[in-house]
Amino acid sequence: MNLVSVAAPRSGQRLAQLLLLLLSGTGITSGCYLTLDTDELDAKAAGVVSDAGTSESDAEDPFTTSLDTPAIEIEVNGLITTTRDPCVATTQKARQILTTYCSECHAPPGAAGNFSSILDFPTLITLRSATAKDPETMDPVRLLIPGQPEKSRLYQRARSGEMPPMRPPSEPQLRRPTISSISLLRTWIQSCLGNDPVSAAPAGPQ
Amino acid sequence: MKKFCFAPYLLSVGTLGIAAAFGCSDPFSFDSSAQNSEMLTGSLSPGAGAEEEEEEEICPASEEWLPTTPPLGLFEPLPHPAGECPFYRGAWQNFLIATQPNAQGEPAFQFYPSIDSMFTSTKVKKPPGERAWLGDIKQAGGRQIVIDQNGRSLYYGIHVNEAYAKFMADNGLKTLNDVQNADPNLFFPAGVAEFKSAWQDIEDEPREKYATYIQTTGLVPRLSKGPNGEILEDRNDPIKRRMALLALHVVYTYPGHPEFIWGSFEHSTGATPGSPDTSAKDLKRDVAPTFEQQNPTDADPDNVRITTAVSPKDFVLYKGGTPANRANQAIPEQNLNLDAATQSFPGQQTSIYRMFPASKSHSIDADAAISSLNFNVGQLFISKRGVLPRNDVRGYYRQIGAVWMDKPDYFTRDSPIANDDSSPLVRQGGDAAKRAAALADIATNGGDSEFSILAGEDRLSSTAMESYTQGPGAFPNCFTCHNTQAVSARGIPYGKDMTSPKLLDAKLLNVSHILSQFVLEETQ
Repeated sequence: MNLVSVAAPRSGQRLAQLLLLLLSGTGITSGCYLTLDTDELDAKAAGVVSDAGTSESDAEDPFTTSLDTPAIEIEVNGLITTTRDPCVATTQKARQILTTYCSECHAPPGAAGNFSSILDFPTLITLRSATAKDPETMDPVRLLIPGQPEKSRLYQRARSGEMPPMRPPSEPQLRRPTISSISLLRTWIQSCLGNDPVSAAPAGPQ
Repeated sequence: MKKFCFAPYLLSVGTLGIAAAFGCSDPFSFDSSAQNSEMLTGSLSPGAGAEEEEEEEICPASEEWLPTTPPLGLFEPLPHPAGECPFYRGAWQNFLIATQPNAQGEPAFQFYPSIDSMFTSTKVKKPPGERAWLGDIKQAGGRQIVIDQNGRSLYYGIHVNEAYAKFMADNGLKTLNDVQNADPNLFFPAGVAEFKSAWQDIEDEPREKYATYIQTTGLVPRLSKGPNGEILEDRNDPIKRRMALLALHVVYTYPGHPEFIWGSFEHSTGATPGSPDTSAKDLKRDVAPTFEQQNPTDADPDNVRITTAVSPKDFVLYKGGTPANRANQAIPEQNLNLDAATQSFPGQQTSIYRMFPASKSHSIDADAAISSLNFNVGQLFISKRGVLPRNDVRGYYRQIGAVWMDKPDYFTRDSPIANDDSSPLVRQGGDAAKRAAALADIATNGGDSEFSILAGEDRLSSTAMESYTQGPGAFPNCFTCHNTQAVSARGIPYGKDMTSPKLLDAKLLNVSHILSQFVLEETQ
C-alpha cells in the first residue's frame, strides 16, 4: 500500500465505485462467483503439459490444469465480489467489523467522546487520544499506527475488552467483537495501512 | 465441498478486480457499510440464501509458487457456502515454503526455530549440533510408538516459522513460568505457522528406493529401556542417521482464523513426472494404504470386524496382507524388544492404514477442491521441471486434507471446537429437537453441514503421526487435542484425561502443541 492512494480524495473513490457498480454484472461474470479466464488457462495448460512431455492420455484425469492464482472473494453489502489484493479484502472486513461494533457511537451522527471518525481511516491514522498518554514519551497515544497494532489505541481497547464499554446491568449490552474479528483488525493495522503519514511528516517546530 | 452459486453473487463478480484499474490498490477505497450481521450476532441461520446449482470446486495452483515459493498473502477467506480452496491453497503454499530445498536437498523448516531455540529451559540441554532435533517417538494421545517394516521407530520434529518465534519473543514467552502464566486471551496472529514432521530412518536402505523423498541427516535421540520396560529417549546423546520425510502437518493462521488451519501432507509416488495424481485419496501414496470401501461404522467404529487385508502390497508403515482388524494396533511399550546396538526392534513392526478414505466423516469421496489442487500442483511441478534443481522433490508429496473453523467467530477460550453437543451451532438455545436435527445433519453431511463448526476434513489424521487415534471414538481430528481447553500431560484436553497432571490452564494459545510440549518437557 502506498501513501498516495491512502490520501486519495474520497470523492474520486466514490466516482470510481459508481463506475464499478455500473460495470459489474455485465460481461465480467462467469456464471458463478469465481472468475477465471478459462480460455487462457486451457491454452496455458496445453502448453504446459506438452512442454513437459506428458501426453493428454497419460493424464486420465477430470481436471483441466489451472495455474492462475484465483481472485480473493469478499462480501460487500451481501454481494460477493473479488479482488487480487489481500489488503483490499482485509480492509473491507475491518470496515465491516468497525461498522458493526463501533460505528453506532463513533461514526456520524454518533460522536461519543467527541470521536466520530471510526470509519474515516485516513483521518483515524492522524488522531490521538484525548485522555491516554504514552508512558515513555508522555505524548497522547495515537488511535491507529500503521504497522503497530499493539501501540494503536483502537486495537488496545478492542483487545482488552474496554471497547465497546460495558453498560449498566439494567441496559442491553453492546455486542463485543469476537477474537476472530480482533485478529483480523490486528492484521489490518499490521499490514494494510500503508506507510505511516505521521512519522513520515517533517518534524515540527522544536 | 461442493460450491453453491447464489443469485446475488452473480451481480458483482469482478468488481474489485476492475477497481484496481481505478486506483483501488488503495485499501481504503471501498466504502461499504456492509455488515456480516448473521456471523457477528451469532444468530446464524443455516440454509439462508437460495441455492441455485451445485458444482465441484476446482482449485488452482499458482504459477509463481515455483521455483521459489513466495510468502502467503494474508486475508480472511469467506466461510461456507463459499469454496474451501483458499484454505487448501494456504496449506500447500506453506508446505512449499517450508520444504524449499537447500543445495543439499534439506528442507527449509529443518533450520526453523524449535522448542529448544525458542524457550529457556531449566533442563540440561546440549547446544544445537550436539543435541537431537528429532525425537518424541511416542505419539500424542496414547503415547504409542509406530514401528516401520524395518523394525525402526519413526521420529518426529516440531518447528515454527520466524513469525511464530517473533510472536513468542514479543510476548515474553520464554520460560515455563511465562508459558503457564500467559494471558489466557492472547491469541496467535495471522502469518504464524508450525510444522510437525514424521521421519523414517533410512540409513540402511538403498538410496534409490528413497530418491523421491525429502531427505536429511538427522540427529535422533539414543533409545534405551527403562526399569519398567518403557522406552526412554536421550536427546543429549544423539545419533546421526539418514532420514526421509514421510509426512508433514502444516499448521498456520489466516487473519480471522487464530484457531489454526491444519493441513496434512504425505509422500506419494507417481505424482510427477508421468501420470498425475488426481485424488486426495489416491492409491499412489506409499506411507500407508487406505481402506477404500467404507468409513468406520457406528456398529464397528474401529473396524475390528473387518478381517480382509487393507492391501496386498507393502507400504512404509504397513505389511502387505495385514487384515484391517489387526492393523492400527500398537505393540505395548513393555513388549517392544529394543536392540540397543542397532537402535531397532528386530522382528517387530506395526501395520498402519487410513481408516477414513477421504478423511471425512460422511463420505469416502475426496473433496474435488483438494484433488484438483493436488493435480494442479503436480502439473505445476511438471511445467517447472526445467527450472527446478534436481534435488527438489517437493512434488512427490500430496495434501491429504485440511481442517479449520468454518465459523471462527465461535473461537473462544475453553472450547473443544467439536461437532458435538458442545458446539454452539448444535446447542441451538437448548431446544432438544433442534439439537438432534443439527447432530443428524452433521452425521449426514460432516464438515459440509451447515451446523458444522468445522470445515474441510473433519476426520483428518496423519497415518504417520496419529496412527492409532484415527477411529471415531478416539481423536477424530486435530482440534480434538489442539483446542483452547486445559491440557494434560498426555498432550490432550485435561477434561479427557484427568488422571494425568494438568500442564496448562485453558488458554487461546493452547491451540498450538508447541506450548504444551515445552511444558511437558520441562515438567517431566
